[in-house]
Amino acid sequence: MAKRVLLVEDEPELRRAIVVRLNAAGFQCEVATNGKEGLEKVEHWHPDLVIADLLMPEMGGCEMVQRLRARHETSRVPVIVLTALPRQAKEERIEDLPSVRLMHKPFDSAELLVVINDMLAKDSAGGPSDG
Amino acid sequence: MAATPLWVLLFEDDEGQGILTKEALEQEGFLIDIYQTGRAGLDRLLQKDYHAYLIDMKLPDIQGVEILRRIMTMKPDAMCIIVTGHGDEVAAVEAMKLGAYDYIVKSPYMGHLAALPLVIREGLERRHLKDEREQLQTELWEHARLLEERNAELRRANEELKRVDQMKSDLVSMVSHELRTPLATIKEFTAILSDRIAGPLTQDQREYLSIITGNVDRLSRIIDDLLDMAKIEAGRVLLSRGFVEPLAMVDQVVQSMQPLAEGKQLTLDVKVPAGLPGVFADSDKIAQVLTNLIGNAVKFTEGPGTITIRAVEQPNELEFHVEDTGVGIAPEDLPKLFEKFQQFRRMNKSTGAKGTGLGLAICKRLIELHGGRIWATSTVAQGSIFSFTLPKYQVEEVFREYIKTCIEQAKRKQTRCSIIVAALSNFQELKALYGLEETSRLFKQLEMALRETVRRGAGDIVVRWQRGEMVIILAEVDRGGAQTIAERMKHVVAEKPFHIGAQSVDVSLVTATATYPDEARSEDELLRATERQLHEQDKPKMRVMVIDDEPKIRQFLKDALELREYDVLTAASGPDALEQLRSHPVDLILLDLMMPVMDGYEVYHLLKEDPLTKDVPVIIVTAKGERKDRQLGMEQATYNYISKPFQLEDLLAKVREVLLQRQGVRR
Repeated sequence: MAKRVLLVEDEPELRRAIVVRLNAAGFQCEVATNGKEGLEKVEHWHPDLVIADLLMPEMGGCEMVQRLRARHETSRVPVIVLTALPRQAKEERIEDLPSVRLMHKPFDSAELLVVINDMLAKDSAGGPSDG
Repeated sequence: MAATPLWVLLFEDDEGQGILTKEALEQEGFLIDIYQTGRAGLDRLLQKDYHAYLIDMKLPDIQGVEILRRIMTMKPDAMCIIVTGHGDEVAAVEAMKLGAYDYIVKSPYMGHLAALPLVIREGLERRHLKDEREQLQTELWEHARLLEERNAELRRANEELKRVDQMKSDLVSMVSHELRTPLATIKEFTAILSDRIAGPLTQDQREYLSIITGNVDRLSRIIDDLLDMAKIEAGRVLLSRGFVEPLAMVDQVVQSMQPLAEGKQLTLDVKVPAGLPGVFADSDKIAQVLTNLIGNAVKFTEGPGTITIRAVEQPNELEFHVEDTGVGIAPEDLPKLFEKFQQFRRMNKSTGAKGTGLGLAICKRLIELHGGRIWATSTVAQGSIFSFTLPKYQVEEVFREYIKTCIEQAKRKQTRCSIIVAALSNFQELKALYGLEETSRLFKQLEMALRETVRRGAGDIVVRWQRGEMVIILAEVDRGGAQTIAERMKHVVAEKPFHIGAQSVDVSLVTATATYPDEARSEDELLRATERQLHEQDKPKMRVMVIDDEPKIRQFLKDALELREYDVLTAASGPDALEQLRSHPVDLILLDLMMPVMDGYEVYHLLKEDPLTKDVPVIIVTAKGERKDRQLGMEQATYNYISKPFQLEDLLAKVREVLLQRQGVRR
């Protein structure tokens, strides 16, 4: 069965681009436009992986990840956080959370797919989560 | 007498008394004007200031009290002395309330006149002192006010600076975000088209898409460079320096550049000797510089050809050279090479990706941040050599300087800086077992492992090999941050296996942190604060008892063990030992077998019978051929022995091993 990826991104065009790419790679996709909506979708749709932008209205990726980690059912779902902020910003600390990876925009789609598959593989192996 | 004459105005209607008073005062150097009516005197007052006023209470026209009131109104600072007759003290007190300085009661025989000059002088003196005091006070207040004003100004300026600084970094973040997001969309859709997810492509379409991709990549490099430059110029680039091995670093960069070079049929030739000393540098930043220089060399050299990367040792630094056989740089362009937005005007019409005009300017600043130099030499049509230097890793000598610099920076920017001291708690043991060199190598592994952990906070790592300590100097990190990093370091070390040679070793880290300006204000204080903390954490020493009748051997063992941080008790005989052990528990006993009075066997049995000592491990020191364990019913498994003559290192290893076993049992 196709793996489910939830994409949380407020830029509609970038959202569309990533969805096209993910669909082409065989993933099932669902979108949300901010962290709040993202949390609801996680609860009802149970994605295998979440991709979230860092800066979004209402609730950004950082807070969303922290909330996901705080709840038992979602404490392990892998998250890729996309950021367009300069490197080495404070936000890099969220990479200390388990199963969180940070990717900088503009990213390489091939690299994004590699990271997605890598995280999904680790997750299903049930091994220690990646910090 | 006073240098300036002291003028006194006297209100006195009685002519005789006036003359007597005048004489008395003139004798004492005063100058007197006498007025017989209040009106005349007050008129005079309009034209002239007097040092003192003497007022008779009973004048024909105006009451003395009223005169006083008017004088005080006109000249609030005037010194008035009331002269009253007997029985008029009530009026005098009234006058004092109005501001008179004093009153003097007329005596029938004019005796009061003798006191008058004194009263006036004293009054003037006091007035003078009071004025001085008041003036000083006023000046002080003025100073304080000015200081306060200056402070407020500074505060305002500082806040303004901080605000501007914040705005600048907000702007940088915003620009970065606003530019990169659309770029990500363009890049992604271009990739979708190129990958034919949206359908097949013609040859032309593919070519055009690859041009778009190239330009998107260039744009994103420009943004990166601009942000880098902005950060460097704002003093926001914090280095994370530490021990960097030149060959490993160069190899890594060269490996990543290999595909680019091969594409142009260029060979990357690394000529970096393996035995070069390390440099004190931020390996990421130096890799960035090398990548840039090698990238330029590839760009401006047509294959087939060679690009050579060299490193050469100089007395205090290492020199790195990137040498190409490319088009070269015109002599007039050489001096401008490292300036901002000076596009390379190397003489070719290269089709490769264009630069950003910032690469070399960034390289220069990064190298200079390290305390190095960068320069270029070139011959047109033959090639160019770009060179830079980095300081050797001689940090012990300049260790304090690094901390000082960090404190100064924090002072200037009104931020904090912290140091973390991480010490190997078993450094002495490891050093005794494997020697300093091997242990140092272990330290290098440790530094590599911790580098990542520290990086998030940006900091220099200075390893003090001799002390088994690593000092991490963190810029702009507060106390909480330092403690978090220290905790993370311990965590990382606990999870990672470490080796000396093929042997895996236990590494346990103790850490201490100190922060400027919260806990300490100078580099000395910072270091002392951490030393104190480390000391407190020191585990209690293991205590060993040496039982031997031979004083020389006793002393030798004592010295050797104390050098390894053990606490040592000695006993010359069995009874002596048993006596001491009653009040001083020990962790281990070294027991000589051949002793007068009570031999080792007997001591051993007594030790094993006593509940206080029966669990203490014993290492029996015997001469060869002396062992009679079997016939004495002592099973080998129950004790440890070492035969004389022994190698000291063997004995120490045995001691360590037995103590570790004991710790294991205790746990």
